[in-house]
Amino acid sequence: MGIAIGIAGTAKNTGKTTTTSAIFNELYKHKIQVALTSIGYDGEEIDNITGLPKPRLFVKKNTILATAKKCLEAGNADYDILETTDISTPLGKVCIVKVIKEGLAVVAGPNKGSQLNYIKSRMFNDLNCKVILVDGALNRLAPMIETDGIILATGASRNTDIDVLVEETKALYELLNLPTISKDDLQFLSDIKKIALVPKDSNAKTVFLKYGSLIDNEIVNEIADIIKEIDIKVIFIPALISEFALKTLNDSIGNSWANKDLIISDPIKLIIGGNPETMLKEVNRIKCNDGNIKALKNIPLLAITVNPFYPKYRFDKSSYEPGYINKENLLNKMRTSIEVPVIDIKQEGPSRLLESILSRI
Amino acid sequence: MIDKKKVLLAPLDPVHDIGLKMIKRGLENKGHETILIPPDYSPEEIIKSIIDNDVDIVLVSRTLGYGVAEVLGKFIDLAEASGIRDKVKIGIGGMAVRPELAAELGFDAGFGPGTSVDEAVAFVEGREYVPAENRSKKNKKDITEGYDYLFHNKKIEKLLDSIVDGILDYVSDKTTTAIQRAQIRRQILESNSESEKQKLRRDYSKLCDDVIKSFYESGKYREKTRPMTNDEVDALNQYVDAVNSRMNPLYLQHVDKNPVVFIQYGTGCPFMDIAHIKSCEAWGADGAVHFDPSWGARTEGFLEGYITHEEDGSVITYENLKSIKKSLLPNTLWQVRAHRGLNTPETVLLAGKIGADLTKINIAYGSLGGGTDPERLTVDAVEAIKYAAEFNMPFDVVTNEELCGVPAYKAFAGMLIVSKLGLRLGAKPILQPLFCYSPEVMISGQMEDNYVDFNAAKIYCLRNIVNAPIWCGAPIGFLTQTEDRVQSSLMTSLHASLASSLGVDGISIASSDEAFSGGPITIPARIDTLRATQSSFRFFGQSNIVPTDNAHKWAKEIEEGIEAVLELVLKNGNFVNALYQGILGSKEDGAYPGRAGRDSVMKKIY
Repeated sequence: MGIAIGIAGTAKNTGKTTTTSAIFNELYKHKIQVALTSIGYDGEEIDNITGLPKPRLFVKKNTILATAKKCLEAGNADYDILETTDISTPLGKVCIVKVIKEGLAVVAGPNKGSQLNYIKSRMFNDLNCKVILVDGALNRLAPMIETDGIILATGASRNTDIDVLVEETKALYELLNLPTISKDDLQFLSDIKKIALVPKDSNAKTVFLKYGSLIDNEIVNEIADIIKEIDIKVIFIPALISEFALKTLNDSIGNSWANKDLIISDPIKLIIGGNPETMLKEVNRIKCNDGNIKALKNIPLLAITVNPFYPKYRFDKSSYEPGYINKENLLNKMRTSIEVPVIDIKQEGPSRLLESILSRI
Repeated sequence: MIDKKKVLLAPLDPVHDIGLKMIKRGLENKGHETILIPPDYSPEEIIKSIIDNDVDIVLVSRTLGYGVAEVLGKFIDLAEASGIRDKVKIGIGGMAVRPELAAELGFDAGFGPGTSVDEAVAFVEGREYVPAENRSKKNKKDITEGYDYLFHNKKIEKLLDSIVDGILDYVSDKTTTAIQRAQIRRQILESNSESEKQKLRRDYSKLCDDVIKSFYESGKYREKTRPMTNDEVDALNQYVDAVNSRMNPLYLQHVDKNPVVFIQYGTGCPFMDIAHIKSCEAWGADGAVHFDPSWGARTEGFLEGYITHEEDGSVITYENLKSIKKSLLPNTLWQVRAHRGLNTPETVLLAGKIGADLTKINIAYGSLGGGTDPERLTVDAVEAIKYAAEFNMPFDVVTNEELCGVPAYKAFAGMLIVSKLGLRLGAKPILQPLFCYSPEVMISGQMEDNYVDFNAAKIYCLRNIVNAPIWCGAPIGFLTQTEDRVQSSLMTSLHASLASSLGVDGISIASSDEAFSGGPITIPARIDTLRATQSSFRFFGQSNIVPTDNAHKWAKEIEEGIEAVLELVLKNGNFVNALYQGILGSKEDGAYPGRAGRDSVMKKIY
């Protein structure tokens, strides 16, 4: 069995494709069977949004790709189509292909977690891939839940204020490192799709809400009302948690968090619900009130790559041009604050990144 | 039987939801249930609405701007994290949306500008969208169809017949090296023997100017001219294949009476020409006109091979023309000009052999405004028209001498003579009056109030004389455009709609930077005028522009002027002398008989 690595970005132009390409080249050197897909659209010459040139994806012979049919006509690599899946995208059905002539590729693969899971299983089980790289898209994270670990690409494109950027990345790191629940609890909770309130009294019935997500006042109020009446030990939220709703829940039940667990499906459900720093603040409020927060599943943050480049908008020309922040300053502050490898992939190359990946195979 | 779906229409936008309202109507007509939520809902509120209403499909609309891509990407993440992504299909529509962007943002479909309601309905119903047949296939239009060339003005017809008799008599014992070269070229093209071809090339080169002769004898190219490399030719073929495979041309015409629209190209480089043609085809152009270089018109003989050069106008060779023809969409009309210069018979022969749809021949303009000797062009043009007839290529008779200062009535007299000559030789002429702000009207004031009346007068006049196709040129709106692209585009589009209102069959349009480019014209500027013309056709539809009474008054004056000129030509003895003497456009008007090929006409040897 191999490992599926997600290359997630905090924004566009944070260096996802550059990181992917660098890892690719390193894996080629080690002659490791590698596969690639994307939850977005990668390898294009010009950015779909900013109109700026983008790094290209060069794929070597025998690489396995999962990409939409129309993308096979772009670029100049040639392919042997191994399977045309039922997965539809705006660019046609996703095909699993093998590169038969190396060249530039454009990759737009499955964009849902469940679809990614299928592709992953085909690549690992039937095509003997050892490493699958899943290139991200913009700031999207949700499908990355199907990977075994992520490399986070961040940089000036997300925020040009280095201190703010470091704080945000640190918050992401901490959220991704939430403690996980025990195996027994996992068995109990993993098939539940709605918000569940588990009473302390083991004879009392678990209360299920209509929704799986905590996204508005109505749901928060319902939880608060139940907590007033029943002594609850676990609040399980299997789907999305929005920043506003979590803050309202904290405001509402405050001290009542004591000896209660908030269990979430995975940290990504929390991260995408709002601003990471505010989310972390709300998580810490739970802890301060003697509550716990845990996840059914975590995704390890393997490394962080930083990119000082950002597309600078010129209002006078109504167009973008390249801009940069201080690279050394960014690296130093990030390394001091976060305990995973922080890498400038363009300067240092991918060898340290590869160590994190290979150690997990 | 299609499953009825429940569709949530969500404008993830502070204001805009027009597109969704249109789609809502289309979906409801097909029996689907729709829920349109108001603008300015938060992504979380939309997610909640999806869950509460248990919908099958969500269509989101959003105008893309700074940072909005991230908002849309986040919306998809929220949908996935909420656990609804596997059961709900989500499409995105907006002015800046394309399938690639939709894929990047994680949507299941993307609907950009020009999306039809049917396309969105097809997505909802889970079927492949097939555009309606009549809109997906453009047809090549024969603009001469339905015209019988019946002369309503019998006096003019009689005068023309007498003048044409004179022309045919004049040329009957004359020939030129151009005619002989065309005959040899035909033998080269039709020969299967390489040794015979080599011999014919030697014969051909003896009839050429030194610059062409040295090409055939020592492979030397004229300065600034070079053959395209094999890599360039291969790249061109790949480019054409790639572009044609994804081509989905726009339609310029909104109603049947809208004329076909031609663009003109001649960048000097066949590759660049083809890129211009492909772009114009994509934006709806119906036809393309090949411009040859001005040095080519003054040079006896043609080169061979794929040739590019650093000057305006694209070199005429069999290979260059063939590659351009090969690049065209099947519905694109293609014209190769042969209206001036020292190679007109061979030009029409090559165009005919390669499969051009149209050519361009006018002795009067070619010799008074195009720099070719009147006698030489007359003898050559009769041969060129015979080729046009043989290859069934209608030819337009352009009247650009108006731009030199020749009054419309004189230019029209010349056009009608050449048209009647064409009819006599079995060809199909197309009248090409100019829609322009000509020196004549600048001086005489017919356009002081508006650009409509005098242009309309030209069409009324020609319709009074003969039932023949009319193609306004070339390009329309000449001398009304400025360096401001919006102004230029507007002028082009208004002239296009005037042409449509007057029921003409074709128009040639310029790019919005053509008059003031100071160098190569640009693709965006071509798109300017094509889109402007399309919009203008859409704006006017079947309604008409109504000229003032001046139009009919001036039409009558032009017709009387034509009669007077034709009488003078006849009185003078023959057409060729009339050209030298300024009867069809004088030095005072601004027309000078051309000098290229002067004294080169020979007596036929029997």
